[in-house]
Amino acid sequence: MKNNFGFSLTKLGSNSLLLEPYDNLNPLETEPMVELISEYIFNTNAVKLYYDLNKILIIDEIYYNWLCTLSKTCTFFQTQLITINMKPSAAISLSSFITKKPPFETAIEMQN
Amino acid sequence: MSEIRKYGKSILKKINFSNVTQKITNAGYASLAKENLLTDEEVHDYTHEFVELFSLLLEDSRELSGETFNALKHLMATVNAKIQMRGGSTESFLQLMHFIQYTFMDEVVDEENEKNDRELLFLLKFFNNLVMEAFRLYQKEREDALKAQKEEFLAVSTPITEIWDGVLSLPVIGTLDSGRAMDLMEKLLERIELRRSKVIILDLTGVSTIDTQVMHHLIQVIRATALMGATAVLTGIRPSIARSLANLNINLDEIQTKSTLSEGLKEAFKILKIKVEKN
Repeated sequence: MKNNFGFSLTKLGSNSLLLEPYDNLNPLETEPMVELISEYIFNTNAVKLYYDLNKILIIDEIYYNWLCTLSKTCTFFQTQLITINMKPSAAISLSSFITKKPPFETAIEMQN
Repeated sequence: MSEIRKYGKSILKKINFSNVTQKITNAGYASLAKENLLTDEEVHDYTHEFVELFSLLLEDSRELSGETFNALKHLMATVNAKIQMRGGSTESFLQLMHFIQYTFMDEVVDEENEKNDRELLFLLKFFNNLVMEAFRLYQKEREDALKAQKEEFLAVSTPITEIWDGVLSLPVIGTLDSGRAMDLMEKLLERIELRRSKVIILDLTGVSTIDTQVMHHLIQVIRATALMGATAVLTGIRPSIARSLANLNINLDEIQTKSTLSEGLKEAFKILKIKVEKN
């Protein structure tokens, strides 16, 4: 599913979703994005939402807050948010300001 | 030193270059070659090269920042480096330079005509300048070599090895400061991305001391590793480090520790659900 918010959502198998953000995703505009993603999760009964960070070079506090908001939303549907393909530069930037484990799961790649 | 334009050609006319070459070569054989600081061939070749470049410089009468002066500077820095490398002192090099200088000055001195003071002064200034430049270059080359050695040491002291499919081992050796921790983190994360590794064993057996700042760096490495989706296991913690860690005001909940590297590897197998059996 494509939209004007700067990401695409793809259904993977029976219970997983893949979210691929583009450069134009605005992490400050969380409400309409959350609404759209929630609807999609609800309709697909997804258990896992993979968030592909392959193109995100830096994760600052704003982007991290967006991921946390999305993670919180996922828990309402008993869906697990898992970030994948985090770049070293993004991991370094994120690890420099977080003080505890993020509320979402992290993985090198999609799990079987 | 635009004086070279003024005096270059007149000095050139007064010097008997084959005579000068012979004198310097003989002196080189008697001192540097005898002390095994340069070989006979080196004395011969360097002297000829020096005299050739110097005559070229006088003939061209160009500024002393040009190609010929640069070549001369490099030649003397090489001679100095060789002398120092073979156990010679700075004094040996300076003695050689003084001898070359006086040999040329002797050629220029005209016993009957004392009006060549300016030419002598020029030679004096020229050789002082050359010695200074050669030293500067030698110093820079030494600093570059030291820097390269340091970088090499850093690369060797953080050898990241894939000890099993998906398992990276990083034995940390020596002191871990902020710069090195950052370098280590970058290399490790790049390797995780490249090899898609799932477990990282950070072995601290070679680390003698650890303080709050270093531990914060290590925690950042472990946290960044986890963010990329890998699990870090800390091994080889010495009793003295364990004592320091216990006293530090740091939350160690997110750190998995094992006593030895082999225990760390067992933990990695557990995480990867790998069962190793004896035949």
